[in-house]
Amino acid sequence: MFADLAQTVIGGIAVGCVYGLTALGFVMIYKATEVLNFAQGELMMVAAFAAVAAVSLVGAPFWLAAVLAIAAAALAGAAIDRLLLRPLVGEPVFAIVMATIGLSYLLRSSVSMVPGWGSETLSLDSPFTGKFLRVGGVALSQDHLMAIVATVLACAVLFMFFRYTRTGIAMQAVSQNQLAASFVGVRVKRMFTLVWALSATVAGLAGVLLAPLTFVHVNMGLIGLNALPAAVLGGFGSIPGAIVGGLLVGLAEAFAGRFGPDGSKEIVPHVLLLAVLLVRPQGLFGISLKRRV
Amino acid sequence: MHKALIGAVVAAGMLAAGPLSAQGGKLVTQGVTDTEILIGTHTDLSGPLAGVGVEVRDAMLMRIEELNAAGGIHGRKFRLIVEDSGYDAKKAVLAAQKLVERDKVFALVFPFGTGPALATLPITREKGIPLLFAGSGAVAFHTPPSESSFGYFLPDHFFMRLGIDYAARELKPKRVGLIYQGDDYGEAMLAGAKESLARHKIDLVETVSYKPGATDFSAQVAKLKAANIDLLLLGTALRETAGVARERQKLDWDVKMLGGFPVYNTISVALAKGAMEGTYAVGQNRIFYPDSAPPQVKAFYDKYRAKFSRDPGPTSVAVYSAMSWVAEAAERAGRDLTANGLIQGFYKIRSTDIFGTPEVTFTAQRHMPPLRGFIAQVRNGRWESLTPFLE
Amino acid sequence: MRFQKKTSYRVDIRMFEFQRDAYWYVALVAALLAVPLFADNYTLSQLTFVFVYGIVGVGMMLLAGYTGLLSLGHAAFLGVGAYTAAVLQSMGVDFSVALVAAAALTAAFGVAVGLPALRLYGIYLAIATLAFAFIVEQVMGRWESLTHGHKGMFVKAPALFGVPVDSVWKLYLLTLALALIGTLAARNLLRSPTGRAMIAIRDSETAARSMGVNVAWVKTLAFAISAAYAGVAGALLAHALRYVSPGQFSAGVSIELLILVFIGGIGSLRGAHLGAVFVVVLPQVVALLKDWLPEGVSGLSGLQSALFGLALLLFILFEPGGLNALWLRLRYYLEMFPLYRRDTFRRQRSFAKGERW
Repeated sequence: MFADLAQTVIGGIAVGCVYGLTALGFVMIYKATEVLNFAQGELMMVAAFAAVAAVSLVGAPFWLAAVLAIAAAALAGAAIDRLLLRPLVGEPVFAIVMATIGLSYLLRSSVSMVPGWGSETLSLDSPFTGKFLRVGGVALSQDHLMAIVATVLACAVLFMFFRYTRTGIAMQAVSQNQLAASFVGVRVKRMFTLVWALSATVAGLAGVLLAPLTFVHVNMGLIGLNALPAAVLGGFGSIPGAIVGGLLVGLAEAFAGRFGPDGSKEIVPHVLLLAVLLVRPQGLFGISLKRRV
Repeated sequence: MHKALIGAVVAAGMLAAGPLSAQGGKLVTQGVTDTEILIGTHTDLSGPLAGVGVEVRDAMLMRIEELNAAGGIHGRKFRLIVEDSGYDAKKAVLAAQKLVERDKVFALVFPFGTGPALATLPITREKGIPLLFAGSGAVAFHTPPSESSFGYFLPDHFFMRLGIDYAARELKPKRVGLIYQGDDYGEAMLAGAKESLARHKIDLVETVSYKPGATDFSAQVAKLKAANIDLLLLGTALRETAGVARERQKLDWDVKMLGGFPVYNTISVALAKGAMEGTYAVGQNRIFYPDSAPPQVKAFYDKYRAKFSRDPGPTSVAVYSAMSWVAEAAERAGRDLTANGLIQGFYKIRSTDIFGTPEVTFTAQRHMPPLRGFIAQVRNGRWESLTPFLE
Repeated sequence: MRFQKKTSYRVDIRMFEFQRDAYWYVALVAALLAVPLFADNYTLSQLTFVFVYGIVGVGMMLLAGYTGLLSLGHAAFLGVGAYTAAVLQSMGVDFSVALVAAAALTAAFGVAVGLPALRLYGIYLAIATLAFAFIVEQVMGRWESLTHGHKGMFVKAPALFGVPVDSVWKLYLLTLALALIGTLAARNLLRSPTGRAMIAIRDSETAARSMGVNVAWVKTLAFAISAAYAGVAGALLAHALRYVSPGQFSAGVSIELLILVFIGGIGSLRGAHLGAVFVVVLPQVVALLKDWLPEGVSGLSGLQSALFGLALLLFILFEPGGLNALWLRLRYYLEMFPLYRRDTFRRQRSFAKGERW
């Protein structure tokens, strides 16, 4: 019984970490630019495909392919900001959100048009694929373990970045008050590009971690839609909130799937989200902002 | 000629459709000229199942090219119009209407996807255009038998029945579990499993489902393991089969797995990387491997790969066969080709194909391939047939 | 430019600002009524879908464009309406009753969503509606005794007041009539105090509240009305497709509706219908053009989605006012010819205020 419970908890944490990483990407961009980036899942997908390409075309080992893919994702994020979003500065948020939706359509269809690969399901093997960690009665695939470790590391790195580096603090300033930040000498437009690149990096990391677990195919980005409840649950305001939200959703899914009636696994995260929003409309860690009149 | 009954589900609608009911039972001939036969199809080229949808188009184009190169049917060449349904019922309806009314095709061949194909059915029935070999396991295309529509894939519950009969004989399970996809395919598997297991008086102890597109099965498989089953039935699709297999491997659980036709494919085995070793499945068409295939099959594989730079999947084989049957029926219908003649031509088919399937026939009561399948098992990463074709 | 010399307050709330416009719209309606005389079923079907999407578009426009509440879950309302119509049709109920039932049931759902949503803003509201839509989709799939689950239901032809609506042109006329009534109703709503309250809430909720607008009531009403429109559209959709299944009302459809509203042009009823034309007709235009494209390009899968995304991006970059703005430009050009001044519609720098500083 205990092993069963522990297994469920571990499984929930493993899935929750992936959700958390994706939610992290959403939250970072929202904090800085008030935009909900619907193309986050597609960035993950592009990074995963890039990693597969590196492995099959160039014969790169997994680590190198992962680094290349994440770098490619970062470049893509910066390019999106520079080319697509900079001309849209000042437009209402709805317009920019629609731009990201259009981008997600475009990315999905462009990748599906790649001859030979676009419409297939490919697999990406990490050095941990097929190996499992079994302790007591609890089993965990090493890919999942890698995902958990990577998430913790990424959070630590981001935390230190935002807390102790000038750029990190500048980014925080921009997300709190753009006008004041520009008065103090922060290059706001550059910070935007950096935030997008950073968020895309996180998406790339999530994609590369997810690829050995869920296989690489053109629709794998749809997991982003599943991570939205995680982001909102944590409140769109903070990075630890995103991770906590992801973990909560992962655990809720795991417990509902294991112990709940059949079919509740899909509904529980959304019901949980609605319940939390009913009580705390700004999410668990969100800040209740004073609204401008 | 036997006046076919229009399906119970559609019948009331058609009969209530007043002046159109007279047209509902009659077949209409169009799209046939002295030099060409115009056929149409719609498939998913840009939506969630685009990977398989593209195979449908490619395989059909390849077969038509071969047929035309061999001189066509009684001097007429086939011309194919492909529409994109994007797995969206609304686009499928519009595509079907365009093909039937504007392009005036002779027949719709292998419209792909249960949702889009079912949405198309009322249109083709109303207009009297043959809908041949729908790319869907839904039974509405052949049950109750309708004059103008044929199904290709055998009903999912038939596969379940064959599989469970085999399992009851050879594996003798006492407690059976089922994991199925939460859509029409999975529900058909569930219904079939319940019925067949009840017949053998075996307990179906646990059924779990997942949302199509799900990637994490740890909770579901853990639940099944806790139910102490000794046979797991798979109502899963391509990626999910591999996912479930890997989850079972992770839990170090050695339960036997048995699936239907969608489980019998090479992609899942490749993705699962050994986790599917020992899995059983029921197949409709045999899978061949490049190094052990008979020469004509190898030629097919090489040609396909050269043309489309990817390996043919099970759907390509299905479409290739279906198109061959259409051509044969048209051949047997004679020089004076009408829609009625085509349907009659189907009843005269006595064909085998390059893939080694036993003789295929159609009857007025059975508008789908003969009900038979075989059991196969994954051994050393390859599917090996354990039985000949069973009824 | 046309100028309105106002001599009384009633001029402000007239249906058409310029009476001349009414004649144009009557001509349009007459032309639409005449279409079944010479068009084939394919065109009629397309137009039927355009009207259906137009109805749900008007509903979404009322919510998003005029009240400022973003809903990502309207596909669920469509689904509820469609299934209500399908189930009632299978029980032999007349379509008039089924239509009212669909509208009423979806409006109830709309209230169920709107009430808790009173405290949610912006993105939280959008995601909450998305969550709601997911839940409804799952319930539609699981409740097999009522909805036949994922196998879907075939829908028989409806009977309106006893008259069977069994051919494409009859359904077309029915959809056209309902689209007309819906648009007129929406226009009337917008020139009423409630409508102006909705617009006030969009522009500044705090100011509206301090002016005495009952924000909670108006927001809930907006949700209910918008949902009712979607319910009616869903009922018509069920009969246009003749087959319903839960998969037809997924999150992708909600996003499609969002695109419809945006490309049509937020803040205009005309935009709802223009957006519907875009969403329904563009894939068909692409399909028709495919025959003229070279083999390599036309054979590409995903072409439709790519064009969709590209069109969206182009609109956002160059004409955020959507098709409605394009139409206004065209109309102005035609009115002022040859004195058209290009700079009248020159794009200004936009300075939208965000939620924070």
